[in-house]
This record gives sequence, C-alpha cells and structure tokens, in this order.
Amino acid sequence: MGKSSKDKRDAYYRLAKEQGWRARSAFKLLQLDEEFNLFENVTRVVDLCAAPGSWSQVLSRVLIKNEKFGRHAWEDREAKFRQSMLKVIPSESKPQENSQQHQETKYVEPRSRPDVKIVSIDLQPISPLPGVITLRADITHPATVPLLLKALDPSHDSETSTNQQAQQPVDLVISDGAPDVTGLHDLDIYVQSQLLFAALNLALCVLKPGGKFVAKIFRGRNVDLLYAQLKVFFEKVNVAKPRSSRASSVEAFIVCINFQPPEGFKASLEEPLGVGGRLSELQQQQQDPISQSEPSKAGDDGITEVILEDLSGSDNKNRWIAPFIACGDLSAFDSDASYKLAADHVSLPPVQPPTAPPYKRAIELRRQNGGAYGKPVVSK
Amino acid sequence: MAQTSPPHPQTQLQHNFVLSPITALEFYLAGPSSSYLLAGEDTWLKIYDVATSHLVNQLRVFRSQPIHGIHAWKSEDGTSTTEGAFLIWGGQSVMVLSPSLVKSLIQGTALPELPTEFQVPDWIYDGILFSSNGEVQGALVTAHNEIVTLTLSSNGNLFQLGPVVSPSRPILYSANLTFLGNGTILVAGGTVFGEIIVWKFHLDSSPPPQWEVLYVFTGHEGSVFGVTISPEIEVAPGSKIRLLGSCSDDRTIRIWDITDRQLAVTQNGGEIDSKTLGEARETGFGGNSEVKEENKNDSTRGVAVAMGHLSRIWHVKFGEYTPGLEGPINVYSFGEDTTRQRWELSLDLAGSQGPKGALKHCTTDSCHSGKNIWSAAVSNREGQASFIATGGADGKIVISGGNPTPGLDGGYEEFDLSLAFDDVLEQIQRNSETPSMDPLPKGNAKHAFQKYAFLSDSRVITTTSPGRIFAAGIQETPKWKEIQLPDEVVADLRSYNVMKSVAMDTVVLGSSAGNIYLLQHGKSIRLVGKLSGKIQDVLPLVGAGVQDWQAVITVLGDDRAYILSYNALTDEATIGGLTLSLPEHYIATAAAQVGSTIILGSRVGVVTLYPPSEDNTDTIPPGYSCRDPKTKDAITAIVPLPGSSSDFLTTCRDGKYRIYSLGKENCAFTLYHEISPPMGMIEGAWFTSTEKPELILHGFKGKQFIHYNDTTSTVLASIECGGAHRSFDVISPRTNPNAFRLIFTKSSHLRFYSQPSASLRTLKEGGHGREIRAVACSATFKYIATAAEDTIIRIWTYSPTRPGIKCLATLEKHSSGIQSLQWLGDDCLISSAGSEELFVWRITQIDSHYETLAVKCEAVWNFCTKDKDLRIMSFDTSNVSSGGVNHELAIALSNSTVHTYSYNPKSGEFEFGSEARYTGACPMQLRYMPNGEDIMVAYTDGRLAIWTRPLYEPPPQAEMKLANKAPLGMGLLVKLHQSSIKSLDAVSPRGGRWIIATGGDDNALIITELGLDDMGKYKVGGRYRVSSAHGAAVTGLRIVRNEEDLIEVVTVSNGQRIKLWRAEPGRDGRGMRISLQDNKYSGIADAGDVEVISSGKVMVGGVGLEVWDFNPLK
Repeated sequence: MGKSSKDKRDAYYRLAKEQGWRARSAFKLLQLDEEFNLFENVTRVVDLCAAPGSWSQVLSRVLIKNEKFGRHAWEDREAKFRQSMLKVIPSESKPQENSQQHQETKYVEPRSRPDVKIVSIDLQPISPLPGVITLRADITHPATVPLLLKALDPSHDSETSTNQQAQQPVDLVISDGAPDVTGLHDLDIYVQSQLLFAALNLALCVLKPGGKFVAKIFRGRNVDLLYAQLKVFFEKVNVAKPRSSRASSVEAFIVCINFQPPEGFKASLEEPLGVGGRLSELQQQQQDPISQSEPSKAGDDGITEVILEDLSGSDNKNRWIAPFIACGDLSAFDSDASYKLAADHVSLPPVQPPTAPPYKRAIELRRQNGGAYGKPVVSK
Repeated sequence: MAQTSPPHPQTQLQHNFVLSPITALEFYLAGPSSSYLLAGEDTWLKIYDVATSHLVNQLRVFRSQPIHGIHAWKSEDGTSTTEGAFLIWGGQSVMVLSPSLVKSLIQGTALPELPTEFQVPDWIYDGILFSSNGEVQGALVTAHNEIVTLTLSSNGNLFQLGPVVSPSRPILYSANLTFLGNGTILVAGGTVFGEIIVWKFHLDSSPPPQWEVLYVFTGHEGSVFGVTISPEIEVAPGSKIRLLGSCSDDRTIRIWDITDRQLAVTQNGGEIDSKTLGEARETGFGGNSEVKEENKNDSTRGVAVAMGHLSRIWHVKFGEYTPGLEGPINVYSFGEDTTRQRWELSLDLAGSQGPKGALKHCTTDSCHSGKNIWSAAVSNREGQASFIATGGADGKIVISGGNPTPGLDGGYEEFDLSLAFDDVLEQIQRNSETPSMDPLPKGNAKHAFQKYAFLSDSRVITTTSPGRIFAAGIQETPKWKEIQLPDEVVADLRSYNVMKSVAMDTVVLGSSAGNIYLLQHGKSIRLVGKLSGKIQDVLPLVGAGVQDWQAVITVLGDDRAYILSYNALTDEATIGGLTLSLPEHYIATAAAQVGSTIILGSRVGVVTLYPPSEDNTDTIPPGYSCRDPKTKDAITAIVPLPGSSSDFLTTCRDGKYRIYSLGKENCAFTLYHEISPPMGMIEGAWFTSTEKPELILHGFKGKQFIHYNDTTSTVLASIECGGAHRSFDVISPRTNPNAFRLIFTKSSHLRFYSQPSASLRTLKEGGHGREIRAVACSATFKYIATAAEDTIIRIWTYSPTRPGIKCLATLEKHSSGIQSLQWLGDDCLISSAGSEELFVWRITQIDSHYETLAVKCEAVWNFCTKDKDLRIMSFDTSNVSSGGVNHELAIALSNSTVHTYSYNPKSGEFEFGSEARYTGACPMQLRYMPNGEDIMVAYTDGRLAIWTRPLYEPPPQAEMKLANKAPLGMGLLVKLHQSSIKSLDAVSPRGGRWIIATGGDDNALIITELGLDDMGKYKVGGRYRVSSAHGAAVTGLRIVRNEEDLIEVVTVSNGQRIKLWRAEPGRDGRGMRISLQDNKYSGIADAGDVEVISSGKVMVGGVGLEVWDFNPLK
C-alpha cells in the first residue's frame, strides 16, 4: 500500500488536504449547510467536541472571513460529466433546484458578519483559529457552563449568577463528538448518546428560541428513542447523512430546527437530561404524540409513499423515526468509492497531525524492546 | 388475482437460535464439587456445568437487552451457596432470580414465572447482592458513579429500587462493588479520563445517605476500562491488605493499595469535595501533570505497574494466592487482542510508604478468534486452584484451571524439565545398578543430545554424540538410564545417527556406515542389515501395519529406497526384499501405505505413488508424481484417512495440509482439501482412535511449538522452543490428544515437557470474531457459508436440535474483509473481498470415518490493478453458461465499474468479457437478470441501473474464446433511495414482470415493479416506499415468500430489529399494499446480511448470527 492509497480510497481525505482543512469532517458540515442553510442569519455559534477543529475552521472561514463554499468544493467533475452522459441527472438546461443560494462565486469581498461570536470547546487543545474562542473543558461537567457563559458574555459573573441560562443566547450549537469506539456496540451507542445528551444539555443552556442544534448520532439500537426525546425540544428533527460520511459507518447527524423549549423548562447541568427520569416526564407532558407519518421530504420523486398497515402489534411508545435526508449533491465525490489519481499525483501531508493516542507511550516502549513481538515490559 | 382465494393468515417471526458475543460470565459454586459457569449471550442466561461442559439450562432474561453482568450471591465467606440468588443486569435493565428460580434452573424442573424486569435511570456497570441485618439486599453502580440500592421481597424477588446516590458524577468506563459488612459498600469507578475514584457508601444511614470519598487515583494516561477490588488478603496474622487492580487504554495494568487505614479524604459536604471533584478540577486527558495537594498521598498508594497486551486491556482480575503471602498473588488481564495474560504480583510490605511490589509476566494464552475478550471470570475458593473463564466476541467460552481430575487424563504427569548433558549423566550414574560400560566423563562441552524417540507413553530414548544411548522411564518424572551397547555399535553411532520410532517399544537406527539397527524395549540392540552408504533417514511406513510394521530406509546418494519389514511372529526384520526406484535427485521425507499403494513425499513437496508391482519384481518403479504448484517445501508426513482405502493427507513445511484421493487403479491422485492451520510449519499429523476420529497436528509457529486439534480448532499446547529446525519427538495417548509429551533440544539442553491435559478447554464453541458481512446458503440448503470482517469464511450445517449450527470448515485465505459470498450448487462457493480478491472454492464430502468437508481454493481472479486496492463489492453468476461448461460472472468494483468474465471451472481460468462504467458512485449490489445477460446494479447514490447488451455472436474463428464481448450499455436507470442501497433481492413472480425489493441507508424499504415495454426495453411499473421502515439503515433484505398474489420480505437493520413485510396488489388491483407482519428485537448488532437457510427459516449475520422461523400465525 503506497502513501497515496488512502488518497485513492478516500476522496474527502485527499480534498481536505488540498483545501487546507484540518480534517475531512469539514465537508460533512459544509454539506449539511448546503441542505439545511445552517449558517443563514447565524452570528453566535458554539462548537462542542471541536478538536482538531475542522468544524470551527468552517465557522471561522464562513462567518468571519465570509468565504463561500458551494458544491464546487467537493464536486467530482468527471462524475458530473458521466452523469449527464448517462442521463443520471437532468440535462444542464433545466434549472437546478436550490442552487440559487449557492452561487459558485470564487471570490467574495471579505466582509465579516457583524458581532460574530464562535466558542469552541474540547478536552483536547485546539490550535488557534481566527475569530474563534477556544476552551479546554469537559462538556459533561457542570463547571463548563459558567466557563461557556463567560466566554459568550464577558460580563457574565458566575459567582453571583446561579442561573445556568445564557443571557445572550446563541443561534446554533454544533457537535461532532464521538468516543473511541470499543467494538461493544451496546456500550459505544450508550457513550455516544451520552455525548449527544451532554451537547444537548449545554445547548439547552445557551440556545435561543428558534435556534438550531446539529450533532453526531450513531444510528444503532434504540436510536428511535433518542429521536423522540429530541423532538421534545425542537419543531423539526431530521437525521442527515452527508455524502462525505461513509455509507458503511453508523454515523449520521441529527439536525434539529427551531428550538422550542417546553413551557416552564429550565436547563441545568446539575440535573442533566439523558440519565434519570426527567426527559420521560417531559415526554409525558407533551400534548400530542408525534405521528410517524409526518410528510417526508421525498415524495415528489415519483415514488409512491405507502400507507403502512402495522399488524405486528409492537410497542412503539416513545419511539419515533426522524425523517432521513441525504445531503451533498449527487455530483459530490463518493466517500465509498475508489478513485484513480492523476499520474503526477503528489500525496500531501495532513494539515494537522492526529493527536497523540493514550497508548503512545506503550508503542514507544515496545519499539525500544524489540518491536511488536518483543517481551512485554515489566516495570516496578 | 384469484378472487376466491381465502385471505392469507398473518406471518410471524419466532426466535430460534443465537450465537453472539459472550458479554457476561460468573462462577456459581453450588457445593463442594459442583461448579457452574453462568454466561450472558445476548438476552440469554446460559448455565454450564464446569466439570462436564454441558449446558444445564438457559433462560431468556430480558426482552430486548443483552446481559452485561451476572452476580451470584455469595455467603459471608465468599463462596456462593445453594441458597444463592442471581443478580443480572444489562444496559438499564436489572433482574433478580430468586433462590427458588435458581434451584429450578439448575435442577431442570418446571420454572416459576419470570420475575419483573426493572429499569434503572442509567447504564449499569456492576452489581452485588449481600446480606445485611439478616436480609438479602442489592446494589448497583451506574456509568455516572452512582449507587442504586435494591430491596428484595421476602420470596427473594426484586421489590424496589432505592434512591440514586453519588459523591460526583464523572462518566465511567468501569466500576466494581464490594460489600464490606456493617452496612458499607466499597465502590471503585474508572473514568473515561483515566482517573479512579474509590468511595464508601453507608447503607443504613438515615437520609440523606452518607458516603465518603477515599481516594482519587491519577496515573493512567487513557480511559480506565477495568477496575477490580481484591478480597482482603491476609499478609501476616492479624494484618490484612486490600488491593485495587485497574487496566486502561494506555496498555498498562496498575495495582493500588486501598487498605482502609482511616485515611478518608472527605465526607459528605466536606471542604475537599467541591475542590477535588468540582469545578476547579482540570478535566480531560493529558494535562494532569500537576497532582492536586489532596491527592499527593494517593500517588504513594500505587503498588505496581506493568505494560502488557498488543491493544486495549478490557479487564483485570485477582486470582489465587497463598494466605500469609508465602507466594505471589496471581493477577489476570484480558484484552482486545483476545489474549488472557497471567501476572504474578509480589509484594514488599517492609517500606514505610505502604506495600510496594512488582508484576511479573508469566503466560499469554490466545483464547478467541477475531478481536476482544468481552467477559471474564475468576473463581476464588480457598484451598482450590482458580478456574478462569473468558467469553469472546466470537461467542466462544474458554475455561482453564481448577484442580486436575486424576484418572481422567490419560496418565500423563505435569512437568517441564531442562537438563544439561551432565545432569543426565549424573542421574544415570546414580540410577544404574550394574554398569557394564565405562561411565562417560562429565564436563565435555562437545557432548550433545542428537535424536529423540518415544518408545511408548512412558519411555523415551535419546542418541548422543558420543554414540551412547540413554533411555528414561517416566514415573512421575523421567528416570534416566543408559542402554547397554557393544563397543562397535557405540563407535558406529558416534557423531552421526538417525533414529525413528516405528512401532510400540521399537525404534530403528541408522549409521553413517550404512548399518541398520533394531532396538526393542527389553531386548538388546541388533543389527538387521547393511546398506551401501550413509543412512539418510528412516521413514515409518504409516498405515502399513501395527504388529508387522514396515519402514522405508533412504541412503545418501542412492537412487533407491529400501523397505524394512518386520514379522512379529518370527521376530525377524528383513531389509531390501523390496526396493523403490527413486526419481532423479529425490530425497524422500515421508512415507505411507494407502490400500496397497506406497506413497512417498519429498523434500521439495513432490508426492509420488508406487502402485503394487504386477510382475512381482523386487524393484517398484515410481508411478504418478506431482508437486503442488504453490510449494517447494518438504512433505513432513503422509497419513491415510481412517476408514478409507483411497484418501490420504499430507503435511508440509509450507504450513498447509492437503487431502488427496487416489484415482482409479491408483495411477493418479486429486487434491480435495487444502487448509492452513494457525502454524507456520506442520511437522506431523495423526488421527485419534476415538469413535469420531479427530485430526491432531503439530508444528512450529515462530518460536513456539504448537500441538493442535484441527477438528476442534483448539491449540492443545504451545511451548516456547526457540523455533523450527531442531530434534524433537512427541507423543499423545491415541484416544486423548489433550495429554501430550514433547522432548527437544534447546540451547544444548534436553527439554522435556509433559502435560496431563490441555491448559485451555472450550466450554462452548464460537464463530466469527468480527462482524459477519455475508450469509449464503447452498442450492439444496445443505451448507451455509458465512464471511466476516475477520477475513474468514466458515461453512456450517444447521440442525433444528441443539446446538443448532455446527461449523464444518474454516476457510482462511482472504487478506481483507469479505464483501460477498455465493454458492454454485452445493459444491462451489465464490467469495469476494477488498484488495481485489475473488476466490472460487470447491467443496467435497470425504468418504472416510473422519468427518470433514474437503475444501480447496480452485481459482483466483487475477485481473488485478497494480496497487490491488479496489474492493470487489458484489458479484453474481449467470444461470446461462457459456460454451456449455463455463460460467458467466459479473463483478462490481469500488471504482464504479462492472466487469463480466467467463469462468472455466476445469482450468480455473477467467476470460474478460466487457465493462460498464458508472458515474463514480460505488456499486453496492449486483444481480444478473433472469435472462442471464443483463445485469442489475445498485449504487451508493440510491440508483438502480440495468446494464444490457446486444445479442452477441462470437466471431467464427474464436471458438476458444467464450466470454461475451458485446458491450454493456445502460438499459434502465431508476432512482430508488436517497443514498446507498444497502440490500437488494429480486423475484419474477409472474409473466415477464419482476419485483425488486431494496433496503437503503435512508431507512426505507422500496418495492419496485419492473416490466418490458413493447420494444422489449426495461420499464418501471411502479415504485412503492415505506420511508421509515427501520430506525436505522436497512442492511439486510431477503424475499422469503413469492406467491401468485403476494411477496414477503424479511429485513434487518443496524437498529437491531428484524421485520417481516407483506406486499400485495392494492385493493382495486392497482398500486400496492404493504403491511408490517411482524417486528422483533434482534440480538445481532451491525447486521450485514439475512438469508433463507431452509424452508421457513432465515439466518441473520452481523455481530454473531441468529436463526429465525417465519410461519403463519396460528
């Protein structure tokens, strides 16, 4: 396997290096934005579990530097050519839906949005980014709330204020956090859901009504319970899969639009959601149960939506499946496909080396002791 | 659609069988001699008898939650009793099985009603039952370091949950509980961020509940995946210590001293609480170089650190120790690398800073296939050796330890000796009664052991460089004596000799002068013949006879080999009556007789037949001779298959063994089976003489000598010997391969190893150690093949009775994760994987007493690109054959192309046909249309394409070329899903119309009707979608019923539900009605495929495998 084999296997890995992104996941946020207009009228954003900072980098470049990224950032020109040749997409003469907002302008006069505030939090240090306040903290910890409130509003005084609600709330909270998976699916899904709840709990403290929340989710067992729980707080909940996220991965993104906290709800990290019975109480209070047959986005594609007769008698209480939306245009590179590289392709080094794993010392010691099959080290 | 047909009854799914990761283990010691192992497999509690390995009983505990932990109630002295109840938990679910229920389970009597499943507010990591104030109570610890108490009712059932109590709520990866007595519980929690919190909870305090934090240990550099609290260890009369073991992502195992010396750091509401655990605390990894003032004392409580395992360490457990600490404390660790490692902890208690010690690495046992030991249990029972059990992601349970049962083990002793030449001389001089030979002087550095041979189970013999022969009878340990030899024999054997055991109590020796000697136990050595040159080797003729044995003698540079024959009646050995004429430069290394044919194997892998001579000449010319094209290594053994007069097995130094069958009139042989067991060089093979013979192999793997049961895929012994190329001999009782002796030379010492039984025992067979990606059933449901990320293919049979499925063969040749599998009939299997691998396997049933499937890789697709880095995502074979015998094959590559080939099973060659290139999107599924020409391909962009081609007329001169060269063009393209099509099946229910069912990454199930228009072009009839068919990607789909007026589809998903759908024409004959017939929890995470394995049964493959029945609702 040559150095460039990962460039071939993973088009977005190669593109990220070519376009100066810290990680390929930058494209996931860009493609989510293309579908959901996440950054529309957004000036105040919190990015959770941000390291190495590729999502914050997107925020910095879009909100501070006012750069625009459209489809051209991830478009596979050859695919587009072949698509029109094979008539996969309508011919060029037809107007393309939704493309107006995404003028493929190569250069826009740098004019930053006014009063932009971006706060990024992670356990790992994040290299500085223009216009981004970085905090090193644990998002599950109650102590992080005053830290975040202070960063959002320098006049916030955590000594006197016992309120964990932001006085100057934000428009958007995003989280791309995921644990190092163990392989025990049950546990991995649980830990990921805890990260999601940690992000949600913080979001509930800082998000303004009408705000948006985007977070990574593992689509595994009981994910329909999670969807139903998120629906307590937002008008619309979608699950989205950008084309830059591999089909083989359980990863997807929950996109929650229009924050509508239930009446009388007070967010607090002292009494977080995700453990205990508080959330199910909120679900009980919800007046109408969510109907599964919410009109899905698809349907205008000529496929008949079947009205399902459920004869199984299974208990779907507290379960709801959020509508799925694939995002990233068809002409986007396919994260599952292998690509041929140009003959003169030069494999670039990554923009930022990966952070040191906790077993770094183990690897070093093993090397000193004669490689992977050397004797295990015994120390006093 | 017939109006008169009665309505179809609803179809129901019923769980039939599961093989999935073992996620919980616990010993239950019911009495002094009855031990049970409790295992959690998916939602099931399984109870095994440790002595017999039998499954005593099983119980489905939770409705839709795998079991993560089991605690058997233990009395005050640490032993569990027949009065015991079981506490079982998984996720947020918890259940207590009362003593009466446990009793019924063990005794197999009718079970009382299953108790209520309780839900705890958070994920549970550990639980205990204990007796306090005469009542049995329980406690759980959650993933947020909280204690939940359990109250039991008088009949022993769980009655209610207590309040949630915690001193701080960091998120944990591990926790452990111990009851201290006096209403106190000791809690240890390992955090995601590498810290360990140890605290005490006081049960009986009046509200608010009282707790005190004892220690916060920092030191681990990664998440703490396992913590374990030791029992109180008596180190001196009246002096006890208690230890904590921890293991982490940082690959270290740490031991901490948590002896209670009234050093409690803080109590409820104490000053340090908020400081230690509150906002001032820097959270996260790595930055904790600064140890907080209040933790400075804690660092002195680190007792020992050791680094082990190749990857993450999941569990650490304390094992047996001698009270008073006269010996070390055993510690076991269990990891992602599927190994179990034993460590010895030695303690120095003299220091002022509390106990300090060292962990010494002792053994590493590889217990499971694939990755991960998910559960482990160590039984600690005073005065008895511990049992150690492990449960893997492969669903296998391995157990070891306990006190050996005398009499059961074939009489072999346990020893491992290393003797210098002088040590043996010393013993001989001590033991010999009447020395008639001059004693050899000691201290001669040139004296060396040369060859070894076992005369019998209890007698071994070695030749030496001074020409003397030593023998040892084994009674408990070997007792060495010298064999009395005439001076001229000593001189003849000096510096060079060969020696082989040829029969019971009999060895044959050869010298450089060409002399052949026979040495039988209890008799003097005798010269039986002299050949013209240096004796190269003595090859016992395996299968020739037991009483009247034969051997092939080879002479250096001679073009003939000589048969040595022994007649037991006359006690005569004759040589040279029969000779074998050798091919040029032929060095024979193995010999056997199959039927009446003698077979030789050579040093370069050639196998040669010597059919019986018809004209009674004394010299037999070589018959058919053949070398496997893939090897140049020596044949080390040839063994006839038991009960067969035509099949034989060869072992080879290339690490493979092969099974051949002699053809008619013994003039040729054909390869049927070729397998690489987990060793680098195979040195020998034999079959047990049990009712069902098992194949036992031995050989070298790196520096290890491996003794291996190939039938059960079990390593019976693994001994570090220093590597291949050394003198050795082995022996096992023919009925019990677990007992084993090995003698060999290492560093000029004689090493003699003997074991009464294998150190590891498989209590329950497992399967794949990684996610299954494909399940395929052969044409007549005879065999089921599964393929997984672990690069292994397994072939199984299913039977409706226990144990459900049985693995017949394991195919290891792929080097990357397998993507797709398909059978041609019942005897040909095709598999595709990453790294551009596509193999064709031939499967045959061998006609012998040895029950195995013969499997060989018949062909390898060889049109690879330079870097071999594409994945073959899917493939299909056409039902239309080209040229009568060749198969049409289409493959889908990850670079968006589809290729067709013509495959010739006779030559194993592929011929390229044509190519279809899509947009760049990766193909996921490929199927030939029923016409055998057109190809349906589903892509990651959610579209389905049908590639068609014009009628192909091969050019007249091209009779050798059979592949269809007509170009592929897009005949139809239809959008179905929003993103990847992950699963697909198709049927043609009636006249020219097809029904295609697809499952997508978009959670949808889509039924598409396809027909032909007037021009004969493909046309979509209708597309019908169930948008949120599953909560997650629909990763497996199969049409299981295809009738005139309905189809039924089974789907599986990452959301761990299995669903059965029915699609039938709409009420007015138009459109389509789809109904969900059944919807059940599936224990298979990351499901990859579903397949019909017999009438009314499907198998789901993913993390483990499951069998479901689908039947009309009664």
